[in-house]
Amino acid sequence: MQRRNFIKQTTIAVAALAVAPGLSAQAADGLIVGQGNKRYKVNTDWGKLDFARYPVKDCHEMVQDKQGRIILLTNETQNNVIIYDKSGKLITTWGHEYPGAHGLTLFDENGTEVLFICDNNLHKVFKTTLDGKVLLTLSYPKETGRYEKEENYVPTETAIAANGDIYVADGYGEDFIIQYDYKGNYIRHFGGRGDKDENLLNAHGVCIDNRNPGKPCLIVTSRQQNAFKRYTLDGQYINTIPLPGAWVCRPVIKGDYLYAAVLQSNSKLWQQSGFVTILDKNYKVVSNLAGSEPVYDKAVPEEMYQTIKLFQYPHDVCIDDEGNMYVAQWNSGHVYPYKLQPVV
Amino acid sequence: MKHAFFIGVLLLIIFRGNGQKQYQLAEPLLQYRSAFFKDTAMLQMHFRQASTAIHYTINGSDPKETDAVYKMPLVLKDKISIVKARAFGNDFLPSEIATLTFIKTGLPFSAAEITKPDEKYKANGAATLTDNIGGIPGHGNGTWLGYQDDSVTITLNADKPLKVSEVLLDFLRDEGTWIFLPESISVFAENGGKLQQVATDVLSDKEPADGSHCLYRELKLDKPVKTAKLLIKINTVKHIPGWHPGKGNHAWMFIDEIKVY
Repeated sequence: MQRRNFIKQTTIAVAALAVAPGLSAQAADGLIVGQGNKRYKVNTDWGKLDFARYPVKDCHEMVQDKQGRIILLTNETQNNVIIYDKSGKLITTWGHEYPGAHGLTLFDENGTEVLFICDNNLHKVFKTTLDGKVLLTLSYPKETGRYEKEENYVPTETAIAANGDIYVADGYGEDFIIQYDYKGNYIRHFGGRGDKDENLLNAHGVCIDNRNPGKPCLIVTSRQQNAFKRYTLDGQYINTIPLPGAWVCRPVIKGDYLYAAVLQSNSKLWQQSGFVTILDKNYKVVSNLAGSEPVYDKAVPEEMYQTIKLFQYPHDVCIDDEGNMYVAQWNSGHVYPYKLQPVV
Repeated sequence: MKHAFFIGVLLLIIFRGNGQKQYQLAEPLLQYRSAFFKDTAMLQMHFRQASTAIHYTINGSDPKETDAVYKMPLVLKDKISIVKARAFGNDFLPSEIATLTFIKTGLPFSAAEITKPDEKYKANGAATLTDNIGGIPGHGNGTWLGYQDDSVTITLNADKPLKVSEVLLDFLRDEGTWIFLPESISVFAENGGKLQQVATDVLSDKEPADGSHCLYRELKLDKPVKTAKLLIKINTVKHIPGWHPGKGNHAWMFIDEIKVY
C-alpha cells in the first residue's frame, strides 16, 4: 500500500514538472485525435470548475443518466459526485462519505435509475439513488471463502445484468469477480489470480456486452495483462482479447463500439502515457485517441502506445446520447474531465 | 528537456496567432530483444501517428529534424552504441528523446557466486548477469536481480587468465519503485592467489529522476591485469535520501548484466 501511494505521489511531482509554459492550457484546443471514422476534436476546458468550491482529486468514472446529465465520481469527499449538463455547466454535487470512490455504474431498474459506487477505502459497494440515498450496501464477500479480512477486498467496478444480478470486480484486491442477485445475495465468484486463461491480474473493470442479441457476455479488464477477458454471465471463461501495450480500464459499450480509457502505455510505465482505445463489434481496435494507429498482424494488434501527450492517466470514458466522449483522469494534477466531439 | 522547453516557448510564440494549443508528441516506441549482444543487435522503432517521422542518431547527439529518418530496423555492432530517437511532426512540439544503449559482449567471464537475490527478483540466478539478456527498463520483467541487502558480492570466473582492462555493470534506476543506483562499486582481481582492488566507482542519486531507466557504469582499471577471477562488491543505498517519500528506508538495487573487457 505504501508503495502504491508512493507511486501516486511521485507522479504528481512529475506532473508538476511536465507543465512547461509552452504546454499550459488555453481555450479551443483544435486538436483532432484518432483514426478512421473514429476521430474526435478535443476540448480540455469542458468540465473546469472553481477548484476552491468544487475540488476534485482523482476523477475516476463517469456515466450519463436519462435526463442527459453527466455524472462524475471523484474521491474528493467535499463532493464525491459532480453532476454536469452536456455543455459542462455544473448542475449539482453530493457525497462526502466516499473517501475511496472509484467505480460508478448506472442501472435502469424498471424505469428508475440507480447508481453503484465502489469504494476502495471502505471496501464496500453502495447502491444509491441518483441523489445519493443509499439503498443497499455490499460488504466484503465472506461467502466466497477467499477473504480472511475486509482489507483484502478492494472493489473497483460493478456491472449490472438485465435481471439485476450484480457483478463486482475486486480489481485492487484478489481479482475475483463476485456475482450477487439483485438483493445482494451471493451467487458465485470467478476469475482470481493465477496462470490460467480464466485468471485475472488487476481486474479493474467489468461490463455486460449486449451487442450480440440473445448472447450477452461479461467483459472483464485484466489491466496488468493488457487484455480484456470474456465470460458467460455465469462465469464461464470464453476468450481473451489481447491489447498489447494498453493498460485498459473498464470497457464501456455504446452502440456497436467498445470504448476504454488506457491508463498508460506498457512501454512507458508511470510516465503519464495514457490514451483512449476504441474497439468494434468484433473486438478489433479501430482507433486510438492520442495513441498509435492500430495495426493487426493476424488476430493480435501490434503493441500500442501513446503518441500525443494529451492525456496523462485516463481512467474512464463516458459516451453521451449524441456520441460525445468525456474522459476522466486519475492522478493527473486534479484535472477536470475533457470532452471529445466526433469529427464527421 | 531543456531543448524541448526552448522549442516549446518558440512554437508558442509562433502559433499564438491562431490561438491553438500546442501538444507535444510522445517518444517513439523502441523494440529490441536485449540491449546486450554477442555479434549484432537489432532495433526497431515505431511511431504510428499521421504526418510525423522519427529522426535518430547513433553517435550520442540529440536528434534534429535534419538527422536521419527511421525507415528500417537498425543493426548495431559496436562495443557501445548510443541510439537517440525523437518524433517530429508539423503540428506538434517534438517528443522528448528516447535513448537506448546497446552493449556488445566482452571476455568470456561468467558469474559463479552471487549474494542471494530477493526471492521475488531472482531472475535466472547468477547466469542472469552474463546471459546477454537485459537492458530493458521495468523492474518486473524478469531480467533483473533485485536486492535489499547492504552490500552485494559477485564472483566472475574465466576458464583461464585473461587480460582485463574494464568492467561494465548495468543497473536499473527507478526511484518511483524505490530502486536506486548503488552507492559505490569496487572491483577486485585475483592475482597470484591474492585479491587486489583494481577499480572503484562512487555514484549518487542526488535528484529525483522520472520513470525507469537502465544505467551502465564503466569501471576502467588503472592498468590491465591478467586474471581468471574477479570479485565485485556493490554497496547499496541503505537510507533513502530525504527528498524521497520513502526516506530512511532501505533502497532496492537492481542489476542485470556485467561485461568484462
